[in-house]
Amino acid sequence: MNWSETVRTAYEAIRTRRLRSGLTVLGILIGIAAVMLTVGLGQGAQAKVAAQINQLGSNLLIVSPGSTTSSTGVRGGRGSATTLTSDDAAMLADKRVAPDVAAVAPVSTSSQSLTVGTTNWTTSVVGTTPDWLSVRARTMSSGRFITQGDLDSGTLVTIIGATTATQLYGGRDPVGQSVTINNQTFTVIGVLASVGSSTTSDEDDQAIVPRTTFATRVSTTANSRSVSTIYLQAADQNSLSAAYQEADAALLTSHGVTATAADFTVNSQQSLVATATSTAQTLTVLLAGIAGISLLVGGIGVMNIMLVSVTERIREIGLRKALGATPRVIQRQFLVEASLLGLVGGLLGIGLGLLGGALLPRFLDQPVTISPIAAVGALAVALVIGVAAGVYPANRAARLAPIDALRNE
Amino acid sequence: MTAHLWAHEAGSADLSGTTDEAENPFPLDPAEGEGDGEAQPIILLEDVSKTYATGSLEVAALDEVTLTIEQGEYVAIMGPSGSGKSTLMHILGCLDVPSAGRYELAGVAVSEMDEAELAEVRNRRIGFVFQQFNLLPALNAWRNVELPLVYGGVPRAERRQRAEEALTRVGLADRFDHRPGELSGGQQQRVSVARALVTDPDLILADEPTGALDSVSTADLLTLFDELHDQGRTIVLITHEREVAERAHRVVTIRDGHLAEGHDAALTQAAGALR
Repeated sequence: MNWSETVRTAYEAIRTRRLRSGLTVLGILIGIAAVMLTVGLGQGAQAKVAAQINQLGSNLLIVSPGSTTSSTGVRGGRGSATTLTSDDAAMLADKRVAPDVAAVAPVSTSSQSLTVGTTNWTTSVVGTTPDWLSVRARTMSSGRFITQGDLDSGTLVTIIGATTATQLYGGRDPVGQSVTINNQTFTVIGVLASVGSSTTSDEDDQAIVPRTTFATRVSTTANSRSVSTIYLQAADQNSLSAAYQEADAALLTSHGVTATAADFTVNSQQSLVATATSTAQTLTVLLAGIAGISLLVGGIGVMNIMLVSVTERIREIGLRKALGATPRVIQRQFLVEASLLGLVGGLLGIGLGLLGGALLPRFLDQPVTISPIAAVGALAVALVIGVAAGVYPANRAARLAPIDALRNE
Repeated sequence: MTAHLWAHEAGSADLSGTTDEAENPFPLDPAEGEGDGEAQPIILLEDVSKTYATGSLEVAALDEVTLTIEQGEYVAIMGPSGSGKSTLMHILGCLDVPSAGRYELAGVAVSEMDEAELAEVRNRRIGFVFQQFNLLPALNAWRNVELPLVYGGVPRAERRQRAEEALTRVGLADRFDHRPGELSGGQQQRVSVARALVTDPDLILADEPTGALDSVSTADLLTLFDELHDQGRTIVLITHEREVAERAHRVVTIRDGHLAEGHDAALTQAAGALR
């Protein structure tokens, strides 16, 4: 009996018991689709987080101040100290100190109310340098960004985000308009192109001013030279590590501290991505584990149904043996039958998984990334489960003696 | 149903080679030979015993049975239930192997074969007719009939042709595509006879073939058996019905695992002659 005959016989046996075969296939189908969708959701979430962090800029290093300890021993969180100054930024911009750092953008932030006529809008006012635009990988939608000239003379100019522009000016073109910040009249010279909001902050809702202007006209802190963050951009991906070392060493030296007592931290974008995605990964593994259990249950369902099938078909098996089927042929027939159930369940499961992957983002506002590898892997798993679940029932069927099988008379 | 149908199996010399009508240098039962030393007996049972172990107790279902059935014979094996009738049928049908003794089917020693070899012998040399027909309900008549050919590795087109020939032979030319559920009991049994014929076997082994049939169908089936016998087929029929057994040309009676030639009444006098 060749393979095509075996497959045909198995197919007929499955078709004869349509309802039961359908329910068995359903178990595998749901398992496969569940695994595909949970893994897809997890990978989608990872990709989303990574994209959000990459949105900060490429080849980015982020220097944050360390924590403070007040005289009463209360410790502030990371970034609460004012240990970073614009002098640090200037030093890091020096090619002799940090040759692999391509651009430096110190950032000071203050929440301020912006007023245009009778309209007001509270947003974060950011004091920085011309490098900010390239370091943060932003583009202008209209107007221009701050220049070195603005920085040197501390002009009262500002660049606003798309959301801020809408809130303050409605549909009007903001460029050339004036806005009042902290009782000073600023001129809007540009609008940033929209990048969409991240989970942590709205990148489209801010007002950029020259750092010097910020220090003298906006800042509310005592030390006008202090900055909240320094963004560094490495020349390229390969020099990121070197830039990290240089910045870290230079800051340690200038602050006169050892690494263990550092009053700042340097994070690379990759480390942020890694931290964020590892969280998502843990969740994915957890969900995929649960989905995997449902797949396992589906597999046990196949085994169960095959065992019932063997018991039910004892007479048929006996007859087939009497007519010349060898134990091997019988074994093969049941194995193929179980594999077919697994295969059909796997294929339909992939179909449902793809359908879910296409429909789910519409309802969940969550991207679902289904890779072809995951689909093929799921199919392979379904087949393996079918075969594995078929082995025991198939061996039982093969071992049946024809007389025992025919004896139910 | 002619010999040419098996031309494709010329390669399986291990089984068919010994069926040639070679001289048997040691005729085991010259008395049965009736001077015809050329023809090999289809069935040769020699001191065959079968014991079943039930717990620590050993029960002998067959006790040193010796039986020879020649080519073309029509033999009925009779016996009450528990007589060892079924055990004998299983051994004759190569569905079971004897515990002791020797069994040759058409010159091939089957008593020492493994399961796969026995399956091949059943497939090629024996056509079974069962009491309950044992047709697969999901398959139509010709698909049921072709089953032994499927396991024999016959190509599909040839299978269909031969299945239809066999069905025509048993008078079901207009029922090729009917499923067993759409056929009467007598028709179903004729389908199973067609299935037994389709491989052109050396032996047709019928186990209580009329047990589930009414008297009209029984008469039809027995007429069919008569015709097959007239065409030279070897038929062994197991039954407990005297009128069925009387259609056969030879009756063998089994009781308590012992065989005797003839009907019950003749048991004692025939036993000596046989042993």
